[in-house]
Amino acid sequence: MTFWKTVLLEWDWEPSIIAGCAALLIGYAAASRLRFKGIAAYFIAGVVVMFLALVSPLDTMADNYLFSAHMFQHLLLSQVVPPLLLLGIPAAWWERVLRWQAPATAERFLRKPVIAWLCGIVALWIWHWPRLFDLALRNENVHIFQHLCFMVTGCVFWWPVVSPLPGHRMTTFPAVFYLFTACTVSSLLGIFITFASAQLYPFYASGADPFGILAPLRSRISLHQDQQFGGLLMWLPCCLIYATAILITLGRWHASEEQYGEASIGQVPARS
Amino acid sequence: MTDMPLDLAPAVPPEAAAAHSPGWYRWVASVDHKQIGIMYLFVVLGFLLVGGVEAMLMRIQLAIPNNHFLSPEVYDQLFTLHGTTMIFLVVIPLGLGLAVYMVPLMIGARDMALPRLNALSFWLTVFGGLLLYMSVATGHAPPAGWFSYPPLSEQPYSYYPGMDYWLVGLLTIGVGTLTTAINLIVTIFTLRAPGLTIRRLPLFVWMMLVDCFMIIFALPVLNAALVMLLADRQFGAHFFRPSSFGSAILWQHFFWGFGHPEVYIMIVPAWGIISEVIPVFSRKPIFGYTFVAMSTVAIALLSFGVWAHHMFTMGLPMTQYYFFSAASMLIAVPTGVKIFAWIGTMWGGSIRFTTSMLFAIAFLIQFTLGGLSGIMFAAVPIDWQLQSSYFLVAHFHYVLFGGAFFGFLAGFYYWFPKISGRMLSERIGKWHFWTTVIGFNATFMVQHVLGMQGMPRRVYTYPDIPGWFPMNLLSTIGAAILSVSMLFLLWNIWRSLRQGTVAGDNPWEGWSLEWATTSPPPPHNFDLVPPVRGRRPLWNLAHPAAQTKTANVPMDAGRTVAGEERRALEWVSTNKPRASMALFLASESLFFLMVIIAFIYFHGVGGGPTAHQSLHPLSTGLYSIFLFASSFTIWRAGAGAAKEQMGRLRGWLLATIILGLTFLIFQSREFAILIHQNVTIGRNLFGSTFFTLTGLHGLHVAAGLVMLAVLYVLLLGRRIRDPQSPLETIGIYWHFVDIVWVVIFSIVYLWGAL
Repeated sequence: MTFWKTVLLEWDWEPSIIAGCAALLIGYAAASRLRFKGIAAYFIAGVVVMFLALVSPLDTMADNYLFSAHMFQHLLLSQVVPPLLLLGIPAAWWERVLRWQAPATAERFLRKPVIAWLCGIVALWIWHWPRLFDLALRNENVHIFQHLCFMVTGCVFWWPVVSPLPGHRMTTFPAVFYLFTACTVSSLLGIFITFASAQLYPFYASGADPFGILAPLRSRISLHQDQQFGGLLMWLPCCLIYATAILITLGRWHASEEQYGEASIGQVPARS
Repeated sequence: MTDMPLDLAPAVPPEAAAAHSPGWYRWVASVDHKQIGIMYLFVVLGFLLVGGVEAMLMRIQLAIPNNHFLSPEVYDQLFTLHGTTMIFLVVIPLGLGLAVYMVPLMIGARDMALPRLNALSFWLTVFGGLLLYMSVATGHAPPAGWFSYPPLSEQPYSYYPGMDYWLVGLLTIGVGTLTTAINLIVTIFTLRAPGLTIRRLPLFVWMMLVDCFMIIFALPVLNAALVMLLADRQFGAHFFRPSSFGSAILWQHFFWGFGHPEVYIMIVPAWGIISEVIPVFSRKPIFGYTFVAMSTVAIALLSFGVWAHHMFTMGLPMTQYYFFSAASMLIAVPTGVKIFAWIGTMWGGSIRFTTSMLFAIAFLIQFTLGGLSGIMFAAVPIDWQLQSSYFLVAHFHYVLFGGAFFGFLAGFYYWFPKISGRMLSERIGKWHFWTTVIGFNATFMVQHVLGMQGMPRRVYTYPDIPGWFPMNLLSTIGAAILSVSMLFLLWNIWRSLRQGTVAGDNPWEGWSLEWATTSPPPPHNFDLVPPVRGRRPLWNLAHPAAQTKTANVPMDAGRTVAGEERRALEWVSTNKPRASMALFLASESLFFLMVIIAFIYFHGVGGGPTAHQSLHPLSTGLYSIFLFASSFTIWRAGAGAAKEQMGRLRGWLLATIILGLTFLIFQSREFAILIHQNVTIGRNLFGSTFFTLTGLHGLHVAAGLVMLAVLYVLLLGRRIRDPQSPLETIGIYWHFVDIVWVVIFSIVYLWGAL
């Protein structure tokens, strides 16, 4: 078998993940009584991305061989899956959930932009602290907690931006500021990892090789290149997601002018 | 001349306008945005001629192979001066100068938000330019190119002070550019006419807004790098000296981190002009207003993440090529959106081929060519092959001359009647246009071929390789034609000012507010600003029957989007000093970030004393308390001002000053002890980064103290009636300085020294 064939066949059929994804889809179908609207596509896409991130060879590579694969997985879990899931859930469901006291209180607290921003960004920074990152790789329970943590903080982070409930979204300019600062701060982490000369994550240098592909892999991508790739993923594509969100937010607002024009006053002296 | 049924009061009588203009002192001391704008244009014209002569000298040298018209040294100095002049003293001030003149008129304001700052920015730019040219008087102009790569730009290799004049001149120009950008943003946020929401802004104003935000985030990166290089040259620091473990590559990262957004800072104002000129001369509203506006934002965002494509030949790690190449190619998408929007605007319109429109059309074609060769450079292998050749010279001249400068010429022909009150001659204008187009393309088209054949750029001569001589000669002839075209422009301006036809208010039947006032506008710009109901206020006024959808939508009192916009912008749009300070600090945080990055980057690199050996976190932490406490006292002072208790205000203010001074004294003591132990800025990389970072912070504290002291003295003399606004503004600055110290302390003393 060729190297790539070996890699591509390494699917990690973790039962808990299959069950979790299936539960999400079944729950969604039940809640909508099998009458799907267009936005269901977002939700399904979110579940599919989550499934692929956790089960496909990406996961195998991330857990054993490549820091960059791990970074890509984290980006999917924290920046792609959460907004897709949030966008896929109809506003009416949220309203029903938020009628209860406890979720409503939690939501009121978490949707404060400062809190939500810190949740998303601090999780990103803390988990890439070398010791914690290594701990997650060596301890499966910590690892599961890490992934859950990325998804939950991702949801908290994206909620004020993409929330389907109109009053719960930030207005345009604060949202732009929110995303722009997030982009800057996660870029810094990416830049730091990219330009670090030391091996930050020793786990990948430990030489563990459960699938027997280490030698051909390292001939394709060295340890140092792998780390740079990871940093660059954090830096450019991650920022591209934020930049896209900025453009969509700003573009929507900009295009809505004709409907909500400000009433004009007659002739007035110029302002100074 | 106007056919708009404007019911405005009669314009200012000509006698009043005459009383406004005479005397050079009136100009030098002016804070009127129109006079400052005109002065910008004149200064730019002067530097354009200087930069043009430099270019012409280089072209004469290159006309024939193995030429000795210029010595290699003089050639190096000329191309450094040419590049620096054209970028920092022509294209950027041209965009800003036009904006300083036009933006207040286009948004229906009386002047810029901060007129005196406006004058300061202009004069800083002028004096920066003079400082740069002072280097010529020393006999040794800077020879290291407009990018000044170290180690060539470092002390032993560029020994003469020309390099230092370059650094100080650029810093001065940089501060002037930054403050103009802040001023324009605050103007656009605070002084728009009623009804002119941000989404109704003319595209030139919108693009200047985006442009100014780019300036705010790009310029500090350059300024930080300039300060470090200056420290290297003047104090023997080691930032960019590979011989003592510094990094020449770091300069390139910083320089292009600024330099790539800079490309867009130069071209975005031209895009704005094109977006005004093409619709007016096609008699159609712009096609895809939102797409044009948003693609500019997309480019502004992307431009900050692609700088490494200027460094593909520097031996970056392989991994970076993939990402920067892909990101660079992405920029083609929003640029393409724009090109198609402009073509779509012309499509089916009744086009008037005025000189202005001709320049706009030439812009479209030439800029697209420059853009296409730009995409070629995003591909790494092509970049390796062509980056150091004349192909690159051709590429960026197509973008900056065939693009940006043609755009500015279109704008100049479009707005000159408004500025001077007289029309430029269309006949001479067409001569100007055709000589410029022919001269430009003759000069630079052929350089693509020369580059493909391997002719290296930045070299003062070339061997007699078959085919190179005729192509270079053609290029030089093209440059000569360009020089002639400049004479047409000068003749046209001179002739028009003396005997041009009177323009009237609105000679082109434009739609934006600047055409609603007289040409030239009265000192106060507008007697009354006409009502604004949409994106084309004068068109709406002339066609009252054509209702926009606005009238049919009942205004929801609680939450209209316009209301949200107002609320979201309230913090910046109600208080001019506060808004400008916030923008200034956004820029300052980038500045500090760069110096902090240098500290982290060089941490533990090279020999000599380290942070761990030299610093005492505990004692520094103790005296930092004075600084942190001053944040509390200034807050109390603000509370005193709010309750109008002057005694309390003065007391807390004095306490703040004393606390700040105490901090500075302790910091000086720490510096003195370190220097006594022979830990200096010139000792090693730790010394360089530590003293630069903490020293710059100390300078900021000192500047804050000066502001506080001035305020205190004014309060003592009871010369300030409402201290609340200045106190709030200085307070924001002061808190910022404290927060920066928290960051510096954590990184230098906790992370670095423990």
